[in-house]
Amino acid sequence: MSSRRPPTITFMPRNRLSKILPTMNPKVFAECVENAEKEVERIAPILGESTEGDVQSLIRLCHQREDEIFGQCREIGWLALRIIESARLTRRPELAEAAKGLWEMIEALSERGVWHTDALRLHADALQALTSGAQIGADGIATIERELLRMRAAIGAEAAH
Amino acid sequence: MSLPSTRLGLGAVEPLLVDDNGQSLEIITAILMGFGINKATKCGSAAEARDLLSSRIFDVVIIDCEMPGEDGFSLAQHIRSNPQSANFTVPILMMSAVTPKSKIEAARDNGANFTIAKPVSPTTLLERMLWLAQSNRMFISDPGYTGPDRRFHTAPLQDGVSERRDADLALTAKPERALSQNEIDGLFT
Repeated sequence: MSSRRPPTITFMPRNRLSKILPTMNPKVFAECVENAEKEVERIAPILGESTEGDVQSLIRLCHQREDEIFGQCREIGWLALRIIESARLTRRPELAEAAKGLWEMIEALSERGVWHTDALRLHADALQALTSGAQIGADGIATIERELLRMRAAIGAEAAH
Repeated sequence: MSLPSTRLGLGAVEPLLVDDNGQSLEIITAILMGFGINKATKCGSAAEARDLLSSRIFDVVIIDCEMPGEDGFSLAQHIRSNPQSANFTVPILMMSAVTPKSKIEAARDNGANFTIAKPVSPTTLLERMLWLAQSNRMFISDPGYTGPDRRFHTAPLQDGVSERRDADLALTAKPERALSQNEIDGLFT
């Protein structure tokens, strides 16, 4: 090994967060968490309002011409990621799961070059069905998730980061 | 009501939040406000964060892993790259909506202290901040790795405690699946 390699240095850094300790005990911890949960509950419905709009934007993007979809695949991915977060926040796991499938397909493209337009569109169709107001029961949702997962596995687009 | 005095310590914390998702920033800010932290600085890109980090000192930096342009891993690496910076050793909490093992390892290897699954839960965030406040962890600066020392004191398993090996094997059997928060934490220790 070259002697010019910089040495390894180990030291104790200043802990700037230690100032919170003097006032933190189980009671304060519980109060803080309760207050934070109230804050989140207060704003979650407002944030959730954008989910439907994001889903519609995503569906539009996924039903463009194939070359346009390919060209805007990163935007599709970021939108899917935003839907995952907002859907989980508003307790809509089925939407989050379908959007996660879309994100995985975009990741598969960027990391392994896997691309399948029809499969991408099918994920968008699933999102549309889940937000259409149609009464899809738990069995139906489970079937959609299972089949999307199976399709991603079949085309080599399942998450394999 | 005892809140003003008991929340004094947290009120002094100055975090930097970095996330391209405005909604996510709002949620984290709301959580921190619930903790009594009103000095959070928010920004929507790694580039903005770089500017802020060069001119101000923060107590903790909370970064989204996935961002357009420069991602959170690169930003964490940037923070750990300059020993002259006042924020060189600042605790870094990464957040991610997707948590395959590879992303958690990338966060860890770029010098993050923890990774938190999104949506962030108040309990999880406060637990991690408290852990960081209590920990006296050494810091390693080396061309191969710069960040908190990941070595912990190891003690033999107690009688009746099962071997961790089986759980570890199960964890790595399907690396692409999303990890739970406990599994994420396990990769940092």
